[in-house]
Amino acid sequence: MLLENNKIIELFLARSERAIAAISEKYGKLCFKVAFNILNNHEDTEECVNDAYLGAWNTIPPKKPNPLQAYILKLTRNHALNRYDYNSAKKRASGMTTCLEELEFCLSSNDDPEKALEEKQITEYIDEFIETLSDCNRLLFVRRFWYADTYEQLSVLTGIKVSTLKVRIMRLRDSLRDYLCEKGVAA
Amino acid sequence: MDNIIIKAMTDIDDRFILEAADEEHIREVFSNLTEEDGFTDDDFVNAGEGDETESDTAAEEGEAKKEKVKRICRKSAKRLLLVAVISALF
Repeated sequence: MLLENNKIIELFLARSERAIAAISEKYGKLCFKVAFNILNNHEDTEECVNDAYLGAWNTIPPKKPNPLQAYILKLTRNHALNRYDYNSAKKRASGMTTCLEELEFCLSSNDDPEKALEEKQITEYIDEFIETLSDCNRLLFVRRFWYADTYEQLSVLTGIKVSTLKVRIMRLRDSLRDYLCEKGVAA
Repeated sequence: MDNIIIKAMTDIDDRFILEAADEEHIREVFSNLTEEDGFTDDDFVNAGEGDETESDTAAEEGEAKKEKVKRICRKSAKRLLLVAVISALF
């Protein structure tokens, strides 16, 4: 039986190692999917998911994340992106390449000294943009660009043809670019 | 990574992440699309092939029954004819 989130948090607060088993049992599959979609490699994925659990162990307490699911998924995604960076530097390709390339249009320079601030600002703009989307467009956007689902995975999930999804998501991406341009963010 | 937008995406509102994690919810949304969502019948996998419906199944069953009745009638007619021929001979 899966523990409720507040019980899992209590285990973390009590420094019980059962917290890791509980969070793994409840969200391990989803964490694995998020990391694997980015890395396309079982070994790296396992490592990232374990790093995310360790991240949770090191930050709870003092944090008491609510919702816990989003917190552990964000930790996993961050670790996976860092590993992706490392792999890319080593010239190791993965399935995330296409997803990243699709969003390259609206990049600012990485060397910007105000990068951290800019990232936070961009996150707020992306939130605003997602809020404007219809239910189906919002789900497609988040599944493609947050969960890094492939078009084939999206097609199985939604019942929509791959070709239609590609066009729809390209339009969503263009809309985001226009939105960020309006806000003066996009390059 | 040259793309800070991918990293900026990580911290989007928890609501969006949780909603998109729920695959049942996604299936429900995509099975209840409206005209405003801008999809046509051709946009769906299996478009044109048509899923079998209850009425299709009922119609097929009806046709099968009709064929069976016809076969029985033909057999009965042949038997009656045979009986009539034999009666006429004797």
